[in-house]
Amino acid sequence: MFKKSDVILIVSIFLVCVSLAVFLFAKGGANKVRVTVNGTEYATYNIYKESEHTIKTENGTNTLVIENGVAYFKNSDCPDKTCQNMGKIIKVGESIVCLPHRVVAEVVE
Amino acid sequence: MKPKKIAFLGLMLTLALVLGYVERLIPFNIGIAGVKIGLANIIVLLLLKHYGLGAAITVNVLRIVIVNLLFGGVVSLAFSLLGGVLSTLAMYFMLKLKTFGEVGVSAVGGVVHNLGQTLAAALLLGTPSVLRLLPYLMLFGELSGILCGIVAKTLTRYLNKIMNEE
Repeated sequence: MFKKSDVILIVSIFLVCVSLAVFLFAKGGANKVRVTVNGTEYATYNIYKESEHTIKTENGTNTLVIENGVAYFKNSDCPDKTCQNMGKIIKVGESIVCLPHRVVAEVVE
Repeated sequence: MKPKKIAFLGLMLTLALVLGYVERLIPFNIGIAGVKIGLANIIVLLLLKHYGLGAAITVNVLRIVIVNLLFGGVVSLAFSLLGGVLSTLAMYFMLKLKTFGEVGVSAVGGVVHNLGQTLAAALLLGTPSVLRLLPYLMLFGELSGILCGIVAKTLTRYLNKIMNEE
């Protein structure tokens, strides 16, 4: 069923994948939370440092909580509260958006 | 083209479509959206081996267009076409080398398929973070490719009689 060349090929592809995974993992995953207001950068926080930040914008105020590599909006004085219900962000690329206040929190490398 | 070949290719296209449908019935999830085993790859590999690149690409492209018209959309059509055509070409060149058996060729096909789709996703969505999934998707492509290769090799024994009657 398996030719010798097949086995060599399969094992080498496997090794390439594993080393690629190790390389990407070593490069580091999420470690910062970037907050932007109206498209401009407001602040960047370390995702592994427990903290609570009040983000004041001209449209309203949001409270961002960071703990154990996770970030979420604890409070917002906007009418729809969507950002509070969007839950927690952990992985790079994930984000929470507060549309009424034009606030975006996203996890970056 | 002989009527028999046309009939056979039509049958293979139908089989590939049904395999794609059967695949949807298997509850299977590795945590990344849209990941499938790719059973239709078995048909593409068989066609490549016995009828060459033209037949394999034609059947695969037709299959992808029909599947996406039935279940998908325009965006998923673009993704599938890219992955499908790339993996068919890759398997064609691997077969041409004559160094590797069905299983090795199919494994490369699976890897290239997922590689193409991930690159397409990164380009179309403009999010390079998708590339982070690449090693896992490639590994999974390899595994499903091996599976399809084993099935294709087993089937060849039974299909040889029909296909060589040309």
